[in-house]
Amino acid sequence: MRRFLKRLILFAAIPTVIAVVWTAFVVVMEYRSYVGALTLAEGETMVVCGDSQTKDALDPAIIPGLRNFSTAATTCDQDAMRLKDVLAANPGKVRRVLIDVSPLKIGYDISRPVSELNAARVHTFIHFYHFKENRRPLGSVLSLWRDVVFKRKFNEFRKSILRGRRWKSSLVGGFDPSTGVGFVSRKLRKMARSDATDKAARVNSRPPATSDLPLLDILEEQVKLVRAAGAEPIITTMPLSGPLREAIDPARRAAFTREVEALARRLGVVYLNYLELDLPIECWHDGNHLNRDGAEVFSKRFLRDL
Amino acid sequence: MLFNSPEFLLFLPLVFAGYWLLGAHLRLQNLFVVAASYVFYGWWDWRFLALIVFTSAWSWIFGLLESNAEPRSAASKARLALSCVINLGILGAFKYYDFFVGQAAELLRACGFEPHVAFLQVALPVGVSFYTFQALSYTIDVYRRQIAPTRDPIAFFAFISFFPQLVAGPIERATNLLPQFLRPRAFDYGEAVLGCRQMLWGFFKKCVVADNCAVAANFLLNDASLHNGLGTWLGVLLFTFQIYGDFSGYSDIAIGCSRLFGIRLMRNFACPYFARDIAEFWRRWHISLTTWFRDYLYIPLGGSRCGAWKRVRNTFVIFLVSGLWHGANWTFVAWGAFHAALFLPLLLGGRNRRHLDVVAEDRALPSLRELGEMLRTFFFALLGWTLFRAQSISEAGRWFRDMVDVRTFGSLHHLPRETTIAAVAVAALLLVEWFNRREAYGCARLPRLTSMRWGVYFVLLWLVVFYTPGSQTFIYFQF
Repeated sequence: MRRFLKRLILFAAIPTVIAVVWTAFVVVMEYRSYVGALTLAEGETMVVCGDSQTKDALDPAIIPGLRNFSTAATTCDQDAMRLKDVLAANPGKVRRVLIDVSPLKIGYDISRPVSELNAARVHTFIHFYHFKENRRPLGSVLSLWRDVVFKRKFNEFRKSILRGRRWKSSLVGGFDPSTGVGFVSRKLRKMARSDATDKAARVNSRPPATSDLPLLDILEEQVKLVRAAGAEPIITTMPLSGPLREAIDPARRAAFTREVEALARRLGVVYLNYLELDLPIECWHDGNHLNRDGAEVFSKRFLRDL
Repeated sequence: MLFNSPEFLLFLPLVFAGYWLLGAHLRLQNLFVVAASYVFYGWWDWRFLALIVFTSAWSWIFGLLESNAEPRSAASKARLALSCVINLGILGAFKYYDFFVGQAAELLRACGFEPHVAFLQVALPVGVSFYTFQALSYTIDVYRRQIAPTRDPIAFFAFISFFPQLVAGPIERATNLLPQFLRPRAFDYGEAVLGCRQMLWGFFKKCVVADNCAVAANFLLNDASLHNGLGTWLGVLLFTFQIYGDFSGYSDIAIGCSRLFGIRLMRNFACPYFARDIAEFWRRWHISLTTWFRDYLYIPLGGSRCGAWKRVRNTFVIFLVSGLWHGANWTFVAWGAFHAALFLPLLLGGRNRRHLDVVAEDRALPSLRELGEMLRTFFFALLGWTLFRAQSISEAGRWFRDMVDVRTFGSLHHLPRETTIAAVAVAALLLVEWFNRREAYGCARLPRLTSMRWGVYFVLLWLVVFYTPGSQTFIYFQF
């Protein structure tokens, strides 16, 4: 028995040591890179911390002074946390903050599957407490470690070494519209069939009359946070493609707009709502992400409204 | 609890430690096995523990009553019948009631009646088909006086509920497993190492081969709008390896895990895709179920030592029952009938026991004839799996139509990346199994050099950790 246990421990120790050393390295590098990437450049006075919709929609080259910190697949409370970090890293520099709110975030803001988050390289090691809400916390942490810390970060590290680049944090995003126009129609058709119905079903599953309290609470907290930092908050909702918008229950959409508008009125904040904005199909990469052309069209429209 | 879940990563070392710490006290050790097995089973839904406790208790009491009875007396026969009715009644209620009631209602509606039917609509308890058959095997063996009834309830409960094989087999016989719980067990270093190795191989088959095949097969077969014959062929091919990797992987993990506890389980798979005819395929696929049906159904019906018509009847009975055992759906019945139709010509022609040895036993490669036979058998198995995988007979019909209609053969776009991983993994699996086809499991033979051997372990571990496309449940849990 002793011999077996000794062998077993030795066998387990080798990958464990590699895993621990690599994880520590990734966490340190990621944290350093994250902190460094939060600092605004000269002339940047407006920030936005949203999800992939926002990341692909607002082009800083068209909207002067904007820094787009949005990253893919974030939840609304993760957006709030990143915003807090940005404001703390740039005291007195931020004048305007765009606070993103989307009907797609209703009902999954905390409980969405962690595997989805992993796939999209979002806030990971720093905000571990999200996983306690998950039904399988151990499995979540393990799959998070496997997919992000090892697979993705190792690949990024390998590429950065090959290309002689510095370590880049995946916790801070930036404007990065998805693929080009040629791919649109086929993918969008497929998306209209499956993904849009899945996404819409999640939103539709909530009764229209019920407020999404966590979402609205976080929104209100963000407004207070921005005001406390001496900046002007602007609430905004990004557009959705036709198939996805139509798949969402109209009563739910109307209730969402009504609730956010009521909150904005109560707090005295401007609300720029593009939920019903109808952009042509060529502007979309898929159901809810604009492509480069779409980002240009939308950013110009947004700038005009701003 | 699933073998491929993180919870099992904690569960197994804790149970291993507790089990061997109690090594000096047999009854305590068995009690610990029962408790651990119930935790393992109850992790899914603790309410269904009552069923397994009832099945175990009734079978044990039956054994006690039988110990003082006259062999094969009327009372004994009545008790056996009652025991079978109870065990099969539980199985029938949970697994088949809704199906048969639904079918009967459909039939009545077709005849112009308007029946009021009440469905149970309860979840199928995980592993109910497996432990019910295990309990039945004890009952019948005691009745036949092939095994002495045990007076030790703890050992008996451990035999029924032993966690590695509780939910998806192998379906153990009392003659093999029960005596192992009645005698003290000693830790064996060699057995434990081989057990770990077999578990690792099982995880490779489940996580890398089956799960990647599952993603690609689901992509190709679940989208009804595709209607692509080529995609259907590829989907069914991938499912053929998915079901093998999934189930034989589970069996390898179960057998390997049992070896850690000094318990030997029976072999459940023996490279079935290298079989040269369907009879050999069934001697190599789900061996524990096939032999169960042979011993407790086929032979009592007269087996193959009777007239031609009876042989035909017996063959169809065991294949149809075997199909129905897999689930309450006509697709499974059709799958059983398909295999019966393939098996019958061999049986009636006296060629069903032609291939009792291992293919190319004394050679590295098969002859052209053997290769042709293996490919033909594999092709038939693949056609069978098409029926098995379909949700309904009409869906199976549509797939078959697509598969033979070359006009539907289009190019395949946007295949998931798991397809490539699955293809490489299947190739590796076949290669390793071919060179280990005489052994008890895939990677039984490894280099003698420790560093080389450990290298293989680490490669397998790396593949299991990094090439698993999310946790997929085991197919056979639903049976």
